[in-house]
Amino acid sequence: MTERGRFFLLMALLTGLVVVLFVASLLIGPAGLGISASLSALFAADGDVVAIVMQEIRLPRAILGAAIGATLGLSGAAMQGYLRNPLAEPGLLGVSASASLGAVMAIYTGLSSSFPLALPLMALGGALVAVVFVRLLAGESATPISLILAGVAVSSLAGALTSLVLNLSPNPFAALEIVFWMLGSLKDRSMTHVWLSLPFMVVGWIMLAQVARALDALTLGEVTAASLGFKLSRVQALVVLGTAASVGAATAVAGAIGFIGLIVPHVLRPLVGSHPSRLLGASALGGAAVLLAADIAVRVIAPERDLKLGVLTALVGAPFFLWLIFKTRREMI
Amino acid sequence: MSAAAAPVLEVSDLSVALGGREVIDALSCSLQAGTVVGLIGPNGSGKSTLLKAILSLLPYRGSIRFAGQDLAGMAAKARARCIAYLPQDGEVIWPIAVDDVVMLGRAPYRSGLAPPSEADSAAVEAALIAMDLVAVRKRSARMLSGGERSRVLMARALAQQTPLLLADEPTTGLDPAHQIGLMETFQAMAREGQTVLASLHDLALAAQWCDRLLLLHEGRIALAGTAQEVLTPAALKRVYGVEAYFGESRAGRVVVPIART
Amino acid sequence: MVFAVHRRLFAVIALLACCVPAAAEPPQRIASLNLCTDQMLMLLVEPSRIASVSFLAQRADSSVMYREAAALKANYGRAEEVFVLHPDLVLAGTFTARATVSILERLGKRVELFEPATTFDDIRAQLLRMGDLVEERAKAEALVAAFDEQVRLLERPQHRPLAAFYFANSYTSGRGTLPSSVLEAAGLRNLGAELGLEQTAALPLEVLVTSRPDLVVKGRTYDRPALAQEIFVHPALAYLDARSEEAVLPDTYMVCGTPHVLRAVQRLADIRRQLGSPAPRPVATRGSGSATTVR
Repeated sequence: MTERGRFFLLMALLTGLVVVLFVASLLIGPAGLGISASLSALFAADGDVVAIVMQEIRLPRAILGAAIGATLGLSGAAMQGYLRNPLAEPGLLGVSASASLGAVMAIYTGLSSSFPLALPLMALGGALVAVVFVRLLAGESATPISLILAGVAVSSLAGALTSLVLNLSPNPFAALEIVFWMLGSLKDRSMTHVWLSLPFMVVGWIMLAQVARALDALTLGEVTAASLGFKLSRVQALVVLGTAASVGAATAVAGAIGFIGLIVPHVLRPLVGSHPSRLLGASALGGAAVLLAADIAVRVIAPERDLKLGVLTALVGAPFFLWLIFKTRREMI
Repeated sequence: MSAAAAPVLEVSDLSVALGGREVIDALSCSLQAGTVVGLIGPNGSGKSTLLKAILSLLPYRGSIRFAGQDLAGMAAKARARCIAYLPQDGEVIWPIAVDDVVMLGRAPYRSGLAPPSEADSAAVEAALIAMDLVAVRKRSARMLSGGERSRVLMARALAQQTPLLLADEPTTGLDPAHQIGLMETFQAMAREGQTVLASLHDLALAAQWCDRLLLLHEGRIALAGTAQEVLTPAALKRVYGVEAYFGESRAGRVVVPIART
Repeated sequence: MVFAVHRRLFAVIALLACCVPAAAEPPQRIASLNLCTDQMLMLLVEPSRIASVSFLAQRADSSVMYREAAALKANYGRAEEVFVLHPDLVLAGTFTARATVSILERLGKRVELFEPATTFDDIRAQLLRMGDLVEERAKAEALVAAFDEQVRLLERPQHRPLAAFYFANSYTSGRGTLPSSVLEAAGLRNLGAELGLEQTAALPLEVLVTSRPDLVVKGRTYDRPALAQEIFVHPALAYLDARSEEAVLPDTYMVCGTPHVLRAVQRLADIRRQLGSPAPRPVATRGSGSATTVR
């Protein structure tokens, strides 16, 4: 089989996996509905309770799981390709934490209740600040470690400010919600959240897809990529805005979910011949599958407890990250 | 080759300022098709800056014309079909297969995510054969020796099939056999009508393998011409501040710097 | 020998420590650290005998008796602010300010702890116990008698509609909670209890929807937003409104086991009467939320 054939097979398998997990996500819930009844209720037009549960509670959860997972996988792959750094990822570089801060400022000041679009827009703004900062810092010659250190600083600062905003809120529940913003959850999200975030995510995906070929060329360095006819300023604008739009919108409705953007591209890279362009699509599908699976797991493991998604992704991701640092240290320093 | 043919590249009155300093100062030169041109000069004389200006990676004043056409008005992709670039110390970040790296040289001819055309595949095959990489074509480019990797990157530049190749200190870090192999490749390209502009620190290589030399000093062309004309004791003393041994071998003039003056 | 002397000394100290408070008069400087002991105390003794109540007692959004508490000195449950008041009796809840309580006990203060009341029997027992502690037994008995009389007058309906509490973060009151007792007394069935939930427990939104309660009693909404409250505006709940009444009731009436819970019972009983018998409901169409909101 040709390399291209193998790539299409991989994409087909990943797509199949996402479809299976999407349906599984729709079928899992505390209400214990029958499989055929719940799937047909998805398309029912009347206000039957099963239809309400399927269309208003489970469907948005599954859609957001797939879309946010795709965003995290795709943006992780794009950032790794663009910064030419295997440790780049929206969570580790502080992009998710800054997006959380933007979202928190929009929600808890009451701004988003009078102007709903403020939520994704301010999260996008927060993400944008972090991406631009990381880009400035990365410059021509940032080592992986200096990028990570910058990410730690950005994450800590954004986390502290998020905590401050929540503590200052007169609403007694606000202070407890720091956990949501730092670890993420899809519990009881509604179609409103889908409509608020999905358009921004789709725009971000389209932007990131545009840089696929340029990321391949960047494998050979920035000057060579420019000599091959890629406008680096345009590539940079697309990566920065695409990441900010998609990660910002994802974080605005589900909190910061870490490590998916790190692990998924890494696992898939050998399977796509390390091509950054092919890694984009594969990581988007892989990220969607991983987040759908994690969201199914939190409902199956502890249905009563509202286990946060970031807990699961960190349990798997953090040891992986340490291993990666160890490996990178050997190879790059 | 007739002297009347339009130059491949014509640089007139080029100035480049970096950090408020004129790194290239009202420089003019031209390259004839089918020649290997050595760009020599001490560190900081402006060699890399000149190459980057020709690639339109730096803002400049003056004009750079490729085959009579002003590069400033040319789209990036069109420019990439005219001028290829071989960086110093070329890197390959991800463990991509050798033939995929070479295929990156076809980027200026491809659009979107369409599969490679027959012309693309043919250019890659030719470059792999020319650089003797067929045996390692499926290996990861990160797992090769330094000499093999430089051949891979050269093959990548060959696959771009441009009339002009800019090479930034291409022989740095290579052993003598690989240095000579690379210069032979440049000569072979020139015989096919291509033009190579290579910045070099090794004056012996420059003297032996280049058809013409451009000696850069403080952002200007100090001397231009054949090795005989450029590599004179006086010029080496004035520009490099070195004294050299001059000799003749069966391959031509030998220049070996032996002492500072 | 030395050991024996020490033991005797210890016995003397122990005797002093235990017997000094026993000889005391009725407590005149009573400090309360808990919203519920605050309110029982205010029902039973003159303000002059109250050294301090918790700051929550003065807040309209948590206390039924915030007006009575306004003139009193407030505390934030910190040991030193209570200690300097020289209270002769400290009242606290079993779940409140544990650290403060243990410090005050080590400093020799008399501390009495009250468990949260979950049934009407608890309310009666705690009022009588409080009456004994502050030596107002007669007043406590009168309050209990009045409470019993009002409970006796409550209607015992044939048809008991299904009601669900729905608080922030999708919590509900299950068995063994005061709000559950309040619902029962108002002639309603508690969904949380019928689902077998214990105490205050999570009630997943989709379970609430599929249980089709006749009445959803939402928790209070603070002016300032929080994710915990987003559940109240979830579209699925809006569709449910068409088929169920919705009531908003101040939590304050159900937080503490005092006779004030009867105001919550009466309000819920009023809403139950509006729900009526299981007559045919209007045809449910999605999005036409014609909910009856009672505040």
